[in-house]
Amino acid sequence: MNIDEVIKKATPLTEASFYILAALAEPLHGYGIMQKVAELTHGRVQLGPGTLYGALTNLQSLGLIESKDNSGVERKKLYCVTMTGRQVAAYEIDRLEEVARHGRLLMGMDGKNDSA
Amino acid sequence: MGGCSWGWMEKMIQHETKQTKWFCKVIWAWQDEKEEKWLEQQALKGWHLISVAPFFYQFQKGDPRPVTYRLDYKVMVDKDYKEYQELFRASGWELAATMSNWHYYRLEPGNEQSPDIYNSNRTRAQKYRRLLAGVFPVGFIFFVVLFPRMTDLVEGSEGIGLFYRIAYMLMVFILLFLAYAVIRIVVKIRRLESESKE
Repeated sequence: MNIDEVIKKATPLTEASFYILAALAEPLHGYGIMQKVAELTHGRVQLGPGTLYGALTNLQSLGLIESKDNSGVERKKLYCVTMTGRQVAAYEIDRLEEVARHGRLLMGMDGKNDSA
Repeated sequence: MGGCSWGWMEKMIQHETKQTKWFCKVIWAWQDEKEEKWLEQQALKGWHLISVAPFFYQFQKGDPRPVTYRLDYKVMVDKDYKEYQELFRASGWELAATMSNWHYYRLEPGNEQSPDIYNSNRTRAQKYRRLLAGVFPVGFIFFVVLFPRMTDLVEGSEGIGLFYRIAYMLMVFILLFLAYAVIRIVVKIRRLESESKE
């Protein structure tokens, strides 16, 4: 599958999936993803274990992330974004920026006096 | 079939011994949210789940507190089962009991971790997809292996015993019920997936 097909199949990502994918720019285990995302969003995005498990399975089957068995003592699986995953994340970031820009434009919230 | 009401054939509280009690209650797989609420009500009365068998629940007496129960379905022989369990454990969900691939998770009050095991209906629907996949082999064995044999057996000979006839009737009933269960679960998946915001 070439990258355009993958993007077409995988996007738009759900908010949970997007945060998981982006968080995996560095290798993390499951709980590490939860913590990182909760910290970054000040608790707004709290990934439930069921959702996280499902999203990890999906992202792996799409080839956007990969897992490796941690050889350490804890033997927890580490997840990391793949090259394809990076490209999909970049595509989503561009798309979300465009959505935000269009939103501001349409709502007349451009510039600095948008804090109303 | 009138909603969920017919499945709620609540039965009696059974022998209460010391600190534990058994409770018999008929709840079907597609009524798991009701089951969660019922378990939470029991916890408010100080009864905390320790084990589950089909239609039987064992509770232990403790202090009454508002705990959260969530049911999840996951095949225990899956390769990633350890990883799955670790995710729940790490996020504060204690495994109270399991019953044929159903997992009864408990979250103690005051736990700041995720208030629910699913954030979206889309991922919640996946739970029921896993359930269907888990039920499928049973249905398949019934339909393709056992049922035709029984049909041959019953239709083949006139002098077949009453025992076989009753067993056959029972099998037909179970088959119909399985079909009904699958429909209920599919409807649930459809509803969840159409309700998901994205």
